[in-house]
Amino acid sequence: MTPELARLLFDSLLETLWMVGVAGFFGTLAGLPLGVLLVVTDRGGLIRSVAVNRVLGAVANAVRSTPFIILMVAIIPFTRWIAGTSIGTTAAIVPLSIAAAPFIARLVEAALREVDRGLIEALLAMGATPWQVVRKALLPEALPGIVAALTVTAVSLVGHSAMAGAVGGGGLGDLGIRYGYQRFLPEVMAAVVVVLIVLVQLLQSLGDRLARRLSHR
Amino acid sequence: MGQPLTLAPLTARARRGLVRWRVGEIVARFRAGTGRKAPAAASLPLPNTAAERPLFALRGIGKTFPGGVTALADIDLDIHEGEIFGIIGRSGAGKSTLLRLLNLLERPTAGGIAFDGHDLLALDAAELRTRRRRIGMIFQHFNLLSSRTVAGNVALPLELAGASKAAIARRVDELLELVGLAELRDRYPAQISGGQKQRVGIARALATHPRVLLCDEATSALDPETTQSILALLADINRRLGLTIVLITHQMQVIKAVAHRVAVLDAGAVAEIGDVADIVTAPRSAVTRTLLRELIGDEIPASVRERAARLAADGNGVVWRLAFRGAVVDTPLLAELSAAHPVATHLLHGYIDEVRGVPFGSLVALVAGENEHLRAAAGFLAARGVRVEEV
Repeated sequence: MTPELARLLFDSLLETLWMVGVAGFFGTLAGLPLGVLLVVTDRGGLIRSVAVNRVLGAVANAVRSTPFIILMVAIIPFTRWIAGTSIGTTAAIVPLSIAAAPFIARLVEAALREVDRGLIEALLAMGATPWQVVRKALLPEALPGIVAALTVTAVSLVGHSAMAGAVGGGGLGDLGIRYGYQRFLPEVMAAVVVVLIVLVQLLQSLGDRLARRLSHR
Repeated sequence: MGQPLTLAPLTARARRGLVRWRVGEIVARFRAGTGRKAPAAASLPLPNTAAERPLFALRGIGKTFPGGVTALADIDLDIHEGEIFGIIGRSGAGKSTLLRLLNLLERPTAGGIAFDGHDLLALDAAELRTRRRRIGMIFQHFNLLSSRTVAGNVALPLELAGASKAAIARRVDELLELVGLAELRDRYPAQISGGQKQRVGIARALATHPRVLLCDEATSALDPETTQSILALLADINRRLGLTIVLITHQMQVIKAVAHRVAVLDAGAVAEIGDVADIVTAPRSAVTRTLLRELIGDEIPASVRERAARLAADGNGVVWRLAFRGAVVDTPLLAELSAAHPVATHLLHGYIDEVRGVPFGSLVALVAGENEHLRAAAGFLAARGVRVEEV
């Protein structure tokens, strides 16, 4: 491996980590509350509201059913408004965050539904407000599940970020396409794939370990 | 924001008499936790002098679930300060629903509930939450947070009530001492036994100094020995703290062991209600007798029953179940019977026990003799307060 290739790989890895990290952060910021709302507003939830639940559910489904490459292009004006530019790594973070949020919301929703209803009943019997039930019971009890959900999201963001090259986003995927495919350098392609595999393995085992540590079941 | 969300399902809800909320209200409600206020029930004819006022007064309570299943119908019930009140019934009798009405985890669809003289149904959500801190509850499956230690679980209701750190620490120590779990304070629920989990549940329920403890099948998931120790703890708490306890169970044993008064629930209605000694020793309803049968175990095996029936057919006899209580326990009943009347008794089953100091028992016997003598024998027994029932 030439030093130039190593340098390229390293820079691209950093770009990928930057995109995944920041998009994961903003995705969680929006997705976690959305997931909580989807659970508490549902039938039998803490603050039942079928209307709110349906609207939120429909929005989440709409975003999730739009292919990422289309989503990325479709929201370019919005991206430009938020990030000041529509090309580059930072610009790619906007559609990545938007794609991650409903993904996280649905996974968080599933994790929260795993929490025993008896616990919610116990907290209500103690005189807890719905917000206290969420904060003191639902979120702590579902935390291992939420960590697992975020791990899945991170891995899926690594995949999505490979498409960021379409808006000049950089990262490992972009490196693979431009050098490996377009310039026909198979060793670059191979190196990119190996780095991606190692990255995903690391993310997954890190998430698994954290989830295990947090679980006291 | 602020616009009413008028989607079809919401209109349907509005038609069903439910409140239509705006998005802003939902957010506000979520933060403040204020629920919708139930339509006030018909005003209750409740006793209002403190001396005669029961801790819980239920009048004409009914509960019909959406979908039309009626769980409870027209229940009148008084639960007094300081007593252990048992509610027994088979599964599906409505006892779990009834217990959940007492802290409004379920809302009744008819009637009214007063707790300590306050109409529970008239409280708004914030008032109800404050009131619920005076009503502790423990559960069949304990419902402890797996993410918190023993001490953390006991601290939870105090945190919810906004107690200071120091006050919480003091109270948690006190409670763990009370239930005998001081050693295990840093364990997680997954690391302790079922009986210990229920002790944590009890400590947690007592944290905010409740007036009453609701027990939802609290011993049904425990082995017999642990059940005894939890029941002993409950009786002890009742005695020492004067705490009112309401417990539901399907086991007559639990009622017999700790309850002072009991309501027998059958198909959503009260079949009978009274002092445990009376209900256990002189049950009036069929469902009580069935529930007692599990306790007494005097079901006669089919083969024995057949033989007895043959004997009875040959020699003009009958199989009687004799139920008695009180002083008659101390008399040689069957010997006196045979001495007084020319009948022969052949004992098939005998049981004797005691409930709240009252001895009671039953004998199942084949009694052989001429019909007229049998009639006289039955009269002899009835005169001594023995209930005679043909098996």
